[in-house]
Amino acid sequence: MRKSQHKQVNISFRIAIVMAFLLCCFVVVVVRAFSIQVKGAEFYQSQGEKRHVREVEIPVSRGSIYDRNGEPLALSTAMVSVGIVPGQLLDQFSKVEQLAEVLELDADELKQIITSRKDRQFLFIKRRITPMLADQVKALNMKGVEFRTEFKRFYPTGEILANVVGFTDVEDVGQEGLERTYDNWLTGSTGKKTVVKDLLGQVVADIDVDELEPAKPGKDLHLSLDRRLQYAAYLELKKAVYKHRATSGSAVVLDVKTGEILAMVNQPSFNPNGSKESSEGLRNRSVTDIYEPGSVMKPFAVVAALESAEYTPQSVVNTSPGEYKVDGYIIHDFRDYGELSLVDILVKSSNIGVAKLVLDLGKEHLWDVYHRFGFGQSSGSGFMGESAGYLPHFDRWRTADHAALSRGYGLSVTTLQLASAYSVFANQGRYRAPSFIKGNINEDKAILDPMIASQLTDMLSHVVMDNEGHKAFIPNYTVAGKTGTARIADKGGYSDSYMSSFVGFSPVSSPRLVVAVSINDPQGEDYYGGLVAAPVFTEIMKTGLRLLNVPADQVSRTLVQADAEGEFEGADDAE
Amino acid sequence: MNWQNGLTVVLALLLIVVLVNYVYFQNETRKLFAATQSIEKEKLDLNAEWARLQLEKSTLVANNRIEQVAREELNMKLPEDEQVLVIVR
Repeated sequence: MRKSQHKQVNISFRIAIVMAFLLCCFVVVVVRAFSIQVKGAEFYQSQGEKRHVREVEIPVSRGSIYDRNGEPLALSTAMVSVGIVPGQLLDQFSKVEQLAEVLELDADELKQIITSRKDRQFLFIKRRITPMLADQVKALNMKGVEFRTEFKRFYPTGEILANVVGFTDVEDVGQEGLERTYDNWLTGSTGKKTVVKDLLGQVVADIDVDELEPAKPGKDLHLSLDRRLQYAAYLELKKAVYKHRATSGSAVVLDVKTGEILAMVNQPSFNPNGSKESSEGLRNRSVTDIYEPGSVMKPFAVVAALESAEYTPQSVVNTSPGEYKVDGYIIHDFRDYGELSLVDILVKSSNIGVAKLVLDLGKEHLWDVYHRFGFGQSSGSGFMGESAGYLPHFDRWRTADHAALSRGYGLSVTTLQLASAYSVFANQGRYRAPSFIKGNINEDKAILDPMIASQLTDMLSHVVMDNEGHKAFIPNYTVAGKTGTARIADKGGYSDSYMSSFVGFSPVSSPRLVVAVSINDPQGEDYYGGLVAAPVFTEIMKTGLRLLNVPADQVSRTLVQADAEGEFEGADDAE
Repeated sequence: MNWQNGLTVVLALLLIVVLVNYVYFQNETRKLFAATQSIEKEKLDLNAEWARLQLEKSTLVANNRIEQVAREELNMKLPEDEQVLVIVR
């Protein structure tokens, strides 16, 4: 009994000891936990952050843009962006001053930023500095200053291609032009990997051999544009716009065989490497701006006449007395041309002639011809922001509209649409959507009887070749084309400003290039398309034919004979 | 009992070998990592230089510069239309 009693006392005593011991342990744990969780939180958190396993981004560059010969048009170069962790800089203000000096920042402002945003994890203070400057900053060896690779976009061709290629914003996202249109293609995907970083934020070890997400650099883009031709075209257009004090202008060069856009220039333009303030120059007017084309539409009215099989190019239309009343409106010609064949209607650009032709045909037929040539629809180039132009449905045409449409009023087109439509004549009646990408040749479709296409080609060549001293005349080459001079519509009527244009192709025997030029509101004495736009066409075409080595098809002035071995048999002037 | 002692000794030796190896390869890893880092750095530098040279090249061959040099320094010009002779086979 005693023994057992003693045992019992002993047991409860032991239990008390164990309980006390466990309680102590518990208190120790709680106290420790408290000191770690609450009191030491800041210390441990910062320590943990310093030896962090982190996911870091692997920066990738945006794809470059090249012209058809591999010349760079847009390049991304690696630059360094400097960021800070404000909290870590609070106690080293003396160094902050040095930092500000190297980066050419205002020291007081920087200090203010650091104090006011001390809770921020990271913020950029200067983006995209050169690696050399970055090395100077690194030499300061500051805690809390971090470096990230970012890319800066350069456009070596500057204003020459600015509104076609477009530009990117500070986050490297395409904002305008082809940079925007092909943004997905050009943008790479940033990779991710986990690394261990030390106290200074330097990477000390890669954790995974495989990246979490592999970095995929952006793909390069090879455009159909030819930088040399682009330069020449830009210069000519700029000269003409300046000379005639025009408000704007555009020119497009198409390769007839492939539909590739070889050059596309616009005025005004801007410097894509500088600030993009002038909103006027940002648009790619060749595809975004629409206007009533005027006489350059007449060949399509003649197409309608020829398709009706009631006319041949030699059919005669009486345009006397130079005035013609339709639906209460009077149509004028430059003067009384009398009887004109269809060829002469185009050569003289007779308003009455085309009006009489189309009024004999149904409205639907003319609409159908215009529609087939791509007017009123997007050209299919894929350019973001491209305008479809405007072609009203024939149900809504009054007779006066019908007549007006024959000479290019009452519808709106882009310069690119005009170039594409004319390439149908040059390409045996087949329409091919234009393309900005080298080798990306769109399928063509037959929209016009090849016979009529060749008749039109012949008629359009008369427009230039019959007229001695025509501004579109190019020595040694045959040229086909049509001028246009359209009054620009204003509120409630037509203003005194004009749109001067010329669209044509060369050489006629085997067309290679189509060039469309439009110059908006020339202020000088000249405003006729033949005097303002045609000279630009000529210079661009000449350069294009030379650059592409297109053989001359009408050697007119001087001839050098070479025999099979390439020996010259003597030069003689064959005037 | 004897064979058990033997096994312990063998395992102990093996453990030492493995640990030494571990330390050795850990060190190797560090060295290789340092090497990849410096190569990465070099790659970045070379990329930057390539882009810089590309830009430099594109300014040197810029069409307006070539035109200026051709016209002003080399006294070249485009032939007039009358000066062009066409070779016909």
